[in-house]
Amino acid sequence: VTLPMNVALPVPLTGHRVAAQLRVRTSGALVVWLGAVVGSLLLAYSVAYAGGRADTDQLHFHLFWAGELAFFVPALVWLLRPATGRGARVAIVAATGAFDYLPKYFRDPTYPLFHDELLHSRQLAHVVATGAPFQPSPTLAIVRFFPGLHTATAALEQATGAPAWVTQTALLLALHVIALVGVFLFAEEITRSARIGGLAAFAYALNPSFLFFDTQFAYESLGVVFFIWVLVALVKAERAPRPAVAAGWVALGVMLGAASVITHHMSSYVIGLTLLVAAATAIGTRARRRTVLVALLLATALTAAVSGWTLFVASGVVDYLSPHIGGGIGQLMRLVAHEQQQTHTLFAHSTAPAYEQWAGRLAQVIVFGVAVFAVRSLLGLRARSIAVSGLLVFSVLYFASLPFMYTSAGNEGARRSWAFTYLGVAVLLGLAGDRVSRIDRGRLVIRAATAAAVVVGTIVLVGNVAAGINAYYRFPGPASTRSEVRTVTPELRAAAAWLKQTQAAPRRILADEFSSPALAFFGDAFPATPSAGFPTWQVYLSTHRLPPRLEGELRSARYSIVVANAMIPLSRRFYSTVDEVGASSRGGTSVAIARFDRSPWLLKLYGSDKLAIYRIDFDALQAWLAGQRQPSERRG
Amino acid sequence: MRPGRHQFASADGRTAALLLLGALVLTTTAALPPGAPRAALALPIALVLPGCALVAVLLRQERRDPALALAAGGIVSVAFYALVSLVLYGLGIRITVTSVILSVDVVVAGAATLLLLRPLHRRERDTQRTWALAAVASAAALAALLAVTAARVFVPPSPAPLGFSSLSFDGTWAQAQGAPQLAAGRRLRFAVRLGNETDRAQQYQLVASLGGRTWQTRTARLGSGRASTVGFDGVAPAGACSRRLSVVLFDGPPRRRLTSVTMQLRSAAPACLTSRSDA
Repeated sequence: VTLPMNVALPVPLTGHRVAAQLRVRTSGALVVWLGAVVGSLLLAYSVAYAGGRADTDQLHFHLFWAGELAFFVPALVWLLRPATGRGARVAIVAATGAFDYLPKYFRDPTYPLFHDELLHSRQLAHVVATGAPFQPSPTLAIVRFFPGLHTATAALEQATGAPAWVTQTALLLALHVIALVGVFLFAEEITRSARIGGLAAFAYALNPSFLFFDTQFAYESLGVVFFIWVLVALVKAERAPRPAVAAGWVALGVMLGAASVITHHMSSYVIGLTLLVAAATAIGTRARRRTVLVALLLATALTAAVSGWTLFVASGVVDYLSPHIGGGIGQLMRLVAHEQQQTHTLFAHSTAPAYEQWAGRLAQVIVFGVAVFAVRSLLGLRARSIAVSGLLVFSVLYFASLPFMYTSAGNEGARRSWAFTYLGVAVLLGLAGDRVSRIDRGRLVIRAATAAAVVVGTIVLVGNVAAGINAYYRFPGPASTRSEVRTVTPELRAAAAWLKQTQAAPRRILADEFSSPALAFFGDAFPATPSAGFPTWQVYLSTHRLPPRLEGELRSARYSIVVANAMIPLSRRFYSTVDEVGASSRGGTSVAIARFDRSPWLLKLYGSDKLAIYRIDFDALQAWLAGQRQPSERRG
Repeated sequence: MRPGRHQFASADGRTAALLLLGALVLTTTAALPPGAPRAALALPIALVLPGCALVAVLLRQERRDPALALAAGGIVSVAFYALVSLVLYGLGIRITVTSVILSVDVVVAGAATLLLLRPLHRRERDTQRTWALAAVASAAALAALLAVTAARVFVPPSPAPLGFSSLSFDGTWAQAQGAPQLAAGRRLRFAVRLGNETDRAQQYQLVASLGGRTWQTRTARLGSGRASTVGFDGVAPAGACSRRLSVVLFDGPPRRRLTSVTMQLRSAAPACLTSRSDA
């Protein structure tokens, strides 16, 4: 008879032993909860401190990590203990999900701030206002065709009467917890060990996207949770004791997969590919009939749904994704060939402390080493589930994505892939953690091994967060164009509010790339999307004359409002969605504001210290252009 | 009835009753006006109710694992709302309180009916691990409570305050589509809106110029976080066909130019109108 790894042999319990166990359990739980309380307060204080000190010192970083570790260390120690029960492990995993939501929550507790959440919040506002999905988005056209997150949140908002931001926050908090519980169940099902399940879920929470990126109100944040739970459905159906249970899981898997198709392109493609790989593995390894059937059913349903949606609804997604993938690969090739144009340097201009930067560089090396250490254990599980091969592929893809961090076109895509690929790494880390927790060579060795695991976990946590997102996003501080979030100032929000109060919809505006999402959300405006055929940047950058064609296009498309933000450098990079090699800065937008103030065809309706809002007087512009043409014609 | 069968049936009955109670509360609260009490009651229920109903029907055996049932209920609920909204859209029905609540009610009623009527074939133990459920629920609740409390205590409501002053045209001029016409010798009347978002009271000076010449001056003292409307009213002197009106905002002492608003004025003189139509 073989016992599952997490089942301890029964030991006769005496009254003294029971009391001792109870004491350990109670004190352990108390330490974890105390860590959560102290950690929460330290995290909140680190944000408040950063907001008040304006990047003058680094104490907020130290407070932040003290807060994180106050919960992280006791939680990991508790998960490493062999005697911890399944219920306690689930509770710690759920608490980890909730706790790891706090850094982002404290960053912007009252309104959306990050670029993606601003544009998705605007989508939500329009879905609620109209009661229908597929609302056009001014800042990212493709989100229109993936309305799952927006419609689900709108439905929740309508059903509960809660304000939009409260609904968004509650939903994201719930998703964060549900994601980790999903990883726990997935790893537990594959390994038949609640201990490995708990450690794998905890390891997944260390992934570079988990603390800040997956906590944004954005479609990825929901898509990733669908991805995890479709895999849970796959392994649960595969290993179900009876066909009826398997059928139930397949039905849920299809439902979650279908929801992912209408929610997020990349998530649904990853789910579809994973299921196809699982089906191929099931057929190739001659798995039992039910396993093959489950894999084929899920793969067929999801592939059909993804293909149908992409072909008939969201056909523009190919054009949207291909530059990111193709550009990244191209730049990587050039990087390998030592043509180091358009590279991305880790921690360039970073204000993060030295230990974060070192941890950032060390973390991937450590994760790779631990993964290699545990890969044999994972290979040993291949007979248990067809998903194990998928996990190996994910792990390889994660490490393969790391070089893309050094390319400007590919680093965004690499970061976005980690929420998926880290699942494989997390199970490997969970297996390695399990081997540490099974060391039984005296108290001193056990404690040393636990301490080593905590140190490794700490370096990976600190390093992944530091490498995953820059400090400008993590903490408030003075306005800066090093990140979009630091440009969403009270002054910009006041200008947006004025726009919304005084100007009639649809408020078609010209603005820089950083201010546009905030103006779109807070001002309910519709910023123009610049392109080669609609070069709106020329309004700001051209010092001589505007092309008459642009004037005609602005007039016919009714883009009559120009917003100028003096904080933004007057460079094409900030006014065009087209990446320009070597676009040079010409000083701040204040230069353009000074020119606009003298322009006869712009009426300045609003001004503040750094912002100006103008109305284009098209009649005056036409007359001015005619006046500009005449001298040049005379010269010609 | 065999004892095991009875146990399982009663567990199904309890689940059905719980689901129906949830739907009743959600439906009842929908009649309340939106606000904190309704949200506090309805949001936790709405987040899991339709998903738990579907999970209860599709995964009856998984009720022995409350963590799984609750987490699966949560994610299936979100999927349900996303998919049902699409179905409603297909049927030409908007996402409203009524349509969403009715959809949830239909799913819950259907699930409860299936739970009560579906023939039972197997004996199942009704071993609810309530302690695990309580642990998960309390973990989530405590974490949420901590977050809210700590945020209220420590986190400022907005990022680091960056003081600024704002100036804008008020009334119809704020929506001006083009240059207003002005007859020579006629009264020129407009107002500007002034805002002080700095951390202290400010003394402001507003200088209105017409065609580059100072026309009128106003002063205003505004407390921190206050806004005020300042009016300009006077006879516009005769001038060119097109003249620029600008209002410049200064603070001080020492006097410092902060910002301005500008408007192009067109003369209503017959000669100017002719030249414009020619152009």
